[in-house]
Amino acid sequence: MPLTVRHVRESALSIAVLVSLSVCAAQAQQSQGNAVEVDESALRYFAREGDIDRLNAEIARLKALYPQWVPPADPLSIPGGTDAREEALWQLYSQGDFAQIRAQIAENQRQEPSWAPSEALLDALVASEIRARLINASDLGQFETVLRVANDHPELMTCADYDVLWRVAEAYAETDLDERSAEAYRYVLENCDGPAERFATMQKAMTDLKRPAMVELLRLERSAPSGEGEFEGIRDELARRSVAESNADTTLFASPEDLSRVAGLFDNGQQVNDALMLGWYHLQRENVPDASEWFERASRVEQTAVGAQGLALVQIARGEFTQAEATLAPWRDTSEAARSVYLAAAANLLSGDPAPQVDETVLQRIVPEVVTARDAATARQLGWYARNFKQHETARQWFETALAWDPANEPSAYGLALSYVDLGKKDEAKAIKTEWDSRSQRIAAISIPTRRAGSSGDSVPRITDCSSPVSPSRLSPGTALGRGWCLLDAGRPIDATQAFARALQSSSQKIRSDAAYGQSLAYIRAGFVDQAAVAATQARQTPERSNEIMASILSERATAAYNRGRYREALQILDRRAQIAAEQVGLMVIRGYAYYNLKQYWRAAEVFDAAAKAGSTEAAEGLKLAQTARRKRW
Amino acid sequence: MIQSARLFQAGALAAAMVLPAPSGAGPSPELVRPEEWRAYAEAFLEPSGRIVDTGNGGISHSEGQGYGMLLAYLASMQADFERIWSFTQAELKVRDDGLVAWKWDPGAEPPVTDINNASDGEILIAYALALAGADWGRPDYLEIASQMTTALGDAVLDPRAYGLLLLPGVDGFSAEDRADGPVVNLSYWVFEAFPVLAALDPSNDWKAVSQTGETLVATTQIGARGLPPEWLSLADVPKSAEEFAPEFGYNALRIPLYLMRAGLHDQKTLSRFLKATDLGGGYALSDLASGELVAVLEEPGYRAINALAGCILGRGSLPADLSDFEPTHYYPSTLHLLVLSYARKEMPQCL
Repeated sequence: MPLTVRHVRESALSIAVLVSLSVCAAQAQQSQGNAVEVDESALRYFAREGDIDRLNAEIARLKALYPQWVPPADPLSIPGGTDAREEALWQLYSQGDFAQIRAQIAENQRQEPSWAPSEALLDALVASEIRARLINASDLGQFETVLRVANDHPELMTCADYDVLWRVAEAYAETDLDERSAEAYRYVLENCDGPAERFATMQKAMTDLKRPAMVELLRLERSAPSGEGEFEGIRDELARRSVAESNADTTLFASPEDLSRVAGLFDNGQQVNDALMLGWYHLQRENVPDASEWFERASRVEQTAVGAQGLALVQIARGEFTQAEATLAPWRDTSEAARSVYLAAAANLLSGDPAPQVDETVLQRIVPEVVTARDAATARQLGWYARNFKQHETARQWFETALAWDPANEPSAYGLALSYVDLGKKDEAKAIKTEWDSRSQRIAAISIPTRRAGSSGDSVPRITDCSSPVSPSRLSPGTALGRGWCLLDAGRPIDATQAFARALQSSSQKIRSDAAYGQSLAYIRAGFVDQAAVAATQARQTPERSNEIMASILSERATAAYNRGRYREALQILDRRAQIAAEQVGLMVIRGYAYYNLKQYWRAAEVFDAAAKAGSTEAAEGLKLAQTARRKRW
Repeated sequence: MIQSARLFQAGALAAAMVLPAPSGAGPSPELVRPEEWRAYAEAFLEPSGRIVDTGNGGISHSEGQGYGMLLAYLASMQADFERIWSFTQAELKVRDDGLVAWKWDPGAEPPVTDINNASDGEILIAYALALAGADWGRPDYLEIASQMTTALGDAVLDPRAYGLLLLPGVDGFSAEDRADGPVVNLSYWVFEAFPVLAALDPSNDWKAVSQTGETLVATTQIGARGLPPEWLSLADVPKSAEEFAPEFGYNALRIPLYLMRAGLHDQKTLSRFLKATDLGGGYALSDLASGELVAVLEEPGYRAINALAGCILGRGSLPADLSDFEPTHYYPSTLHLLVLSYARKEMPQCL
């Protein structure tokens, strides 16, 4: 086998566990051969103090070093204990004052250069210091230090100290040595007997190991006194994890066994989360009947915001918008997610064609949520709803509001232009047409005041109801474009991307350009920034549109980079964005904190200052922080 | 492993030639007096071995641990040296590359709030370990000093047109890491330590590093006062690094102190620093661009630096109030003991 870098690294780092796991045999031979006498004085001290934990830990440590050694039946009978200075050090040791012991040893030797503490004390002290260092390194993610320390001190790894064993196993996993990690966990299961610790070991292993390695470890299961395997609970957790992972990544699928195990867990335990997990699993795979059943079962155990969201999504999928709105109404302001599903239900409810008669009380609870969330899509839908009932002034106000919240949104502008026409406000309608002429074919095509646009090859039918499922491939590119805008309005950006994809097949340059524009907006709305960038390049765009899309994409990327702690990258992206669009206050705050986190306090203060003057309270707080930091030496 | 053992042997042998022969004690007589050390330890050393930066919210850092070890050595206080080193090793010397995390905050969990290193921290720690190791007959100290110095040299030395540079940390200062990089901090050149580091780590050219520092200190004269900045960009013409205050500040005031302690008593350089910073009653920090004062530091530890420079330049000995040590804050108190211990050893006429 060719020796790769990885192999070299593995061999360098793997010594620790392997050594400690099997090693002690070699050490034993050595120690027997040399007839090493084991210093047992620590045992006597801990026994006298009644410190059972430390007594056991010391016995384990000595056993690891000298496997043939037999612990004394009565540690109190071990001779020694005449040196008061040594006794004082053991006292400090049991208090964990390791630095103080070091100081005291030095002080004792200053007074009497020939004095020395016992080997047992020094060994125990070194082991404790090393252990503290290992724990600190582990807490700080310095996993190579963890492995190096473990390598040098395999005697630390005993069944008396599961924490160290787990951290070493974790360190292997974190340095991509999964097999070593599995070996370390295997060592614990093969050698250590504490039932609770064995179970905890499997729980730790679950965070570090993949399913096949876990299956291997499950073979080391022992039977509990009840006759049941000790890791039955782990199998349950693995099944739950599999479903949860499939929920987080819809390209994955849970096995039928896992699904039915979780179903069984719900049947027996009636834990609402099990049912919810299954509900989401099926909903995301468009298995509406099963999703519906699980959300219903969950709600019979406990009414939760998450459950209501699931149920509402099921109802939206079935076109039961009135019910969906009602389901989520009690939960609508419990979380961002609940509000956004609520608004989706509301938008769908309002967008029915023919226009539904929505109850006044329902409208009254939708409107404040729209305003709170500044949700342009639902605001626009309220505009269409009003327009359907010929309430043209109300419609105008909603379209205007929607456009104010999202100035680049073409459908809002389109609705507003129509409202102006409806209201006979020709000048306002013309102004919108002029503004959007190069960006929207359908706005350009609105005729003022009476003549309707003739149907040309490029014309895009206006579609206000896209709730019924239609495969985009069956639509003409022009109709698909209209449907794309409608879906985007309805808060269904993913579906919209597919409709726009169909529209991209048009032979009309204008439609392709609109479709590419729509698709990138849809991707941005759905949070798929990279796809948005690709979509934007699929047809030639006007410079304004390109800039708008690019600016949105860069905003998303900058925010994402910042959230991942990649401040320098976030700044580079913001700089690129600043070349094509003015920096909004929110982004200035991100820029400020990026500088702040890079300790560039001067710049942070400058940016926060500007943003604070624009009225941002977040920036004002940032400014204070940056100014304080500037005054410090560090 | 084998390679580093060989290097250590070479390092230890060479170190034995520049370092004091084992005496079993520290410098004799103590260059930091027992009562001075007691007052310092009382004020800034916790029993856990942590040196507390009382001027900075009670945090600790690798620099402070290094200073603490150096002063404990100069006071022949082996017990406290052990105490400080024990803390340093368990809490800070945890980085995967064998270097030291620079910042430790008692209010945080985990307390290391910045895993980055600071090169002057390692230099001070390795230097103190080497002095103590040689003097007290502790090969284990020498071995770790040698390993740490080699790890530091391998990670932060950067050959440039200006010479072999000492980057202030492993990450964030090189030409790759920043547009105006490399950026250095001239107060990280602890000149007295470089001959020892050269002996500990023959694989890196620490003498060249020292030479680069001397040249940069002599030639970096910015603004009306002709002072170097805290953070110096060497991407092009030397200038204050971006996003740092363009100041001669708290860091930089150590530059003349380190020169003097290393016996680098060039009159022109010392008078330049003295003229630009001495306000009689205080040590002046200033803005490089405008020359305006940023702060005037009146604590004895700061003033002692200029008093020592004045003495070296023939302006008479330290005033009585600076010859006695009273702890104030961690940083100026540390500087004060560094001034006094040096004067006792090399310039007793100044006291």
